[in-house]
Amino acid sequence: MSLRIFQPSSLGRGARIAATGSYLPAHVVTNAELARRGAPLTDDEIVRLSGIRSRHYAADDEATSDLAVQASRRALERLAKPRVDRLYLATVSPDHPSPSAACIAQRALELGDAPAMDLTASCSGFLYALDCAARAAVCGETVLAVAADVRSRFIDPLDRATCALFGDGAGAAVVKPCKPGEGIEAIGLFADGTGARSVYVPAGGSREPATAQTVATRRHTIRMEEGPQVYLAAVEGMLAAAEELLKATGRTFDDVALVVPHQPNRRILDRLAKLARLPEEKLFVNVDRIGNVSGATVAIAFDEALRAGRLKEDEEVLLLAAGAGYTAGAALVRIDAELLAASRFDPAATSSSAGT
Amino acid sequence: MSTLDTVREIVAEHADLPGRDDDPLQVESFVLVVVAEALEDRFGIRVAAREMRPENFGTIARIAAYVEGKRA
Repeated sequence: MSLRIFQPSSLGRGARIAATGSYLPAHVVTNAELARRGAPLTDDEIVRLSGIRSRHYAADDEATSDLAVQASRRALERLAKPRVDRLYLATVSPDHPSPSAACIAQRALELGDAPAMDLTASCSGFLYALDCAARAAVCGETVLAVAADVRSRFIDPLDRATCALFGDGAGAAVVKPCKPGEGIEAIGLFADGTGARSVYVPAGGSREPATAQTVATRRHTIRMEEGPQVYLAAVEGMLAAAEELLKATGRTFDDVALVVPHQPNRRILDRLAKLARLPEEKLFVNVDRIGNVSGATVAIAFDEALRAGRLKEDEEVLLLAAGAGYTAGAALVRIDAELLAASRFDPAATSSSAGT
Repeated sequence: MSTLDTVREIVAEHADLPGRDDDPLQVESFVLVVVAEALEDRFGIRVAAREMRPENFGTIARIAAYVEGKRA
């Protein structure tokens, strides 16, 4: 693996995360409910195979942009003077094939004429959005980096390999210019197209347009035909990305206060911790409660970690992801006092909408 | 205990053993992950994603040969 690493300080500039927000739909789907819906797995099997006990599903009238808007509002409400010059939305489940979910969210957030676009990097989505946002921030813009997915609409309820893994949700971060050396210290991204069919949705795109036949055979749902290889590749991707970014920044795992990884399943996280020799308290885990939320996972987990008080001023957090494509990424972020203060304000307490 | 015997023992902990060592291993995909991790612990090897293929994990005999190759 060879990461493409971006260090804002190399340009004599800086980019920092000023606030985060996340949103989980109100409906919690337990393993028992999945089984009642016909999933070919018991609660015990799901827990044993994945460590997942529940996940959130979007309501019938909620789409990806709705979740993105909720998470974005929570991030923006944590700022005294919210401003957005640009919006990047990472998703693999946009509201429509076109236009972008970002444009729909841009309108709902009343962002004026701020450019808005979707980007697709599967479970590495948030880190890809954060990389784009950091590059725009060093040019002076304040950027909303969002990741949102409604994977529940693309699940085959009869597929043992995937039916219990995924949940819905969104996470957002406001990225602003700052002094060199503050905030986002480095981001590294990677892609390897040999894994393009490792986890994929075969039909519904230009390769295999939706037909009555593709729907009848559920080819518009998530397929994971080489599960063991994907499992091992996810760990390898996150570990290699972490080690390369840490080496490039002169750090080791010992220097990092918390690792916030993508959460495909609990066993993958246990393997990552074992190979990286990470003590349990240094790994943030929420997969048991929310499952795999694709590209939004890291954004949600980072927001939860901040609000749970797991990070202190001047500590460094390592965000990690690997996913279909294959894609992978890592980001080293220094926590500052303003971000901590923002995370202590809870917009949900003044909002009627459900969520995290 | 030979490598073959150990592989049989590990697989038997998680699935029904096939009749012969070169019969196709009929197990759920997830069992292969559990077996791979047990092999890592027992033999001190690391199974890479690219190695998780039928040529290496399709039968008991192939798993044993794969492990021998990794330890060589």
